[in-house]
Amino acid sequence: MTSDDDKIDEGVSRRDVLKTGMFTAAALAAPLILNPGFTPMTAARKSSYHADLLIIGGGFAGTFAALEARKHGLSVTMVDKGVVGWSGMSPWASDSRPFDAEIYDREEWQFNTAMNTEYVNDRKWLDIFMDESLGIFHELREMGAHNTKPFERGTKVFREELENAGVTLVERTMITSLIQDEGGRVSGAVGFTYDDSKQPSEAVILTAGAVILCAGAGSYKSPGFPIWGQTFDGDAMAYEVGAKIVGKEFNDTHPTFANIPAASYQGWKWAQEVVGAYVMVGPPDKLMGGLTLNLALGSYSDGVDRRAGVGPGGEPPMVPGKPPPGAEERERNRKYLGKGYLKTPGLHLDLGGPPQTPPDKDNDIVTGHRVGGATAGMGVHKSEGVFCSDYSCAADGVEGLFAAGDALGSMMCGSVYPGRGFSSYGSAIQGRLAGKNAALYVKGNPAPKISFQKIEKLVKKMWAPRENERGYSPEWITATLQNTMTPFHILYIKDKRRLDGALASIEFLRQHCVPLMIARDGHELRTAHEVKSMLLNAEMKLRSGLFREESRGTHFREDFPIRNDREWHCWVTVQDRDGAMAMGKHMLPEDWKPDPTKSYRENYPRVLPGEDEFIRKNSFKL
Amino acid sequence: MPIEKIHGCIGCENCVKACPTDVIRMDPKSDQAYIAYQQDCQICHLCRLSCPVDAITLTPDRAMLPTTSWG
Repeated sequence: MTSDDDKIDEGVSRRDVLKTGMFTAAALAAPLILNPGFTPMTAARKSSYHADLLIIGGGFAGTFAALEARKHGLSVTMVDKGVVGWSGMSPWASDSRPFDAEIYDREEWQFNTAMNTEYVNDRKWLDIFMDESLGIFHELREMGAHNTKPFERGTKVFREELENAGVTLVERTMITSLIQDEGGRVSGAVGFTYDDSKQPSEAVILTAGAVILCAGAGSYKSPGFPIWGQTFDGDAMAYEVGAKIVGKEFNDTHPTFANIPAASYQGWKWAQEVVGAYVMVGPPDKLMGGLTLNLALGSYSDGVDRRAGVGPGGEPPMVPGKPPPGAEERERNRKYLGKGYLKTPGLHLDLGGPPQTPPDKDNDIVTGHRVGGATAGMGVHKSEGVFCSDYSCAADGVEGLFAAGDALGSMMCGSVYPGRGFSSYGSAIQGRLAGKNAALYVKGNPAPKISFQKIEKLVKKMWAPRENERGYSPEWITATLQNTMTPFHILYIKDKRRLDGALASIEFLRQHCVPLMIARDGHELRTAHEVKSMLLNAEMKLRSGLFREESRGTHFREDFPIRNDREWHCWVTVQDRDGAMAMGKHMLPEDWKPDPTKSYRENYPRVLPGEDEFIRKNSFKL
Repeated sequence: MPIEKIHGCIGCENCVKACPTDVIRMDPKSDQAYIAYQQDCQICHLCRLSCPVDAITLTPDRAMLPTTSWG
């Protein structure tokens, strides 16, 4: 953390575009379709809840945050878009990664993770992870979470803990905006109940002394990964109240199967069938085992896991006669098996490589080639979201707002997810920390002065798609967003011209179509707000990708195919500034840079296509 | 088709709660679950896993939406 050199992106600001856009909007009136469910919402009922603390999202982060805050004596409301335990990524979290200082070497974990994530991972967060993860392991065991399948851990174990602790659960409620008090302090949220099959949608007003966002990450509802319930809602709400959002130029690269690309369950049933958890043994690998770009770009074809030097993020060339990288580590890991807590019965020790699923009829169909794009839009677990520079989980520059888990841009995993097990445990650790710090904040500050006029405005804005008589359906906007952003030559293999082109389309959707969205019912109102969040995320991703004029980890620029530590050993942030997206560079400590006594290639063994040629041509000094 | 049919529902509402994308709703008349928003099914099978009587059928295929018509 050395400096935070904010720059406004040079280009057309939103205000300028709006001015000139008036004429275009009129010309585009023709495609507007009628809203078959048009309804004035002025008479809609309201439910209100008040507590010391509001937690948005009930997965690993939310659960640990709520339990911690209750220990500090706070009253807690937890609101969830679905049902606590079922929604988000937690029903699929099968892995654990406890760090045991008696077995593992802290320095080795730090070094391997830094190399794997290309030196922009937050080492202090990794230290916190190593301090806390064994405790989380034992805590989960005491709760009984190791005797269940992943979805039962949330629906039974976590839920029971939350109910016993006296946490008020508000469920099947889509939150759309954060409430700020007269001084700008975040002091609650507004949302609505979307299930209108028995009674009409209601506005839900939740007020509190502070808010913790545990709403997870998101994707563009791309087929092949069970993450559609998450649509970057937390990032969007935080951005609207002035928070900085970090890490958007990097990508999750989970693949799916070419023959059944939409079949989430078939690809992930192994995670659902394990009872307990896969315990990840040993430090993360220096290069293998992470979600590199190669994973998305066809490296699984023909049964070859990773081919040397193929595609951006290519693995280093193999040395003939030597075992592939990782074999040595795996051998060493096997030696750990007889030690200590790893003998816990019922747990599955993972020695690296993909988990083995026993063959059955369901699994027969997933033998096709792997293809990327299953999680299009999703960033790196723990490395995208609300920016916090002081390890407190409090959003920089916004009073009363905290974040944890995949909603927090902790940057713990840098530019590449380095291996299984970091995500759920990282969420639990950050959730607990956010719960503690939010409790201290609420106790140390007077009650917020809530403006009910402001709340009314937020509620009116929330209902708008129900009240628009004509406009664009969220379904059409979602499909257009997917077609713009999901292609690999936009999201994964970047180039200025292509990014600019996609940006123009996304900006148009945000400026002209979002204000005219229509929603025929509660469900469509939910999808309308979801696509609004996804479009904001798309603009953040495109602008962050344009801004970082280098390549690193899962961010590959065809026009800048090199890592440039001198200028880009930093994190990129976005922040709202009077309606325009302001880009910021957060330079990282000098001692997090790769070893200056080693060669570029030793520090960055993954060979990028065009990299050597670029260096030669531009006489680039590395 | 992703979620294909619900046959033999006993009205426990588990699948409604389990669905992360609000695909399934309860019919207030019959008190049985029905597929209300099939286009938003992400084929995660949590509804099937939550069903005590194995009433839900899913297939792994999904028709992608066309964007040729506007709005």
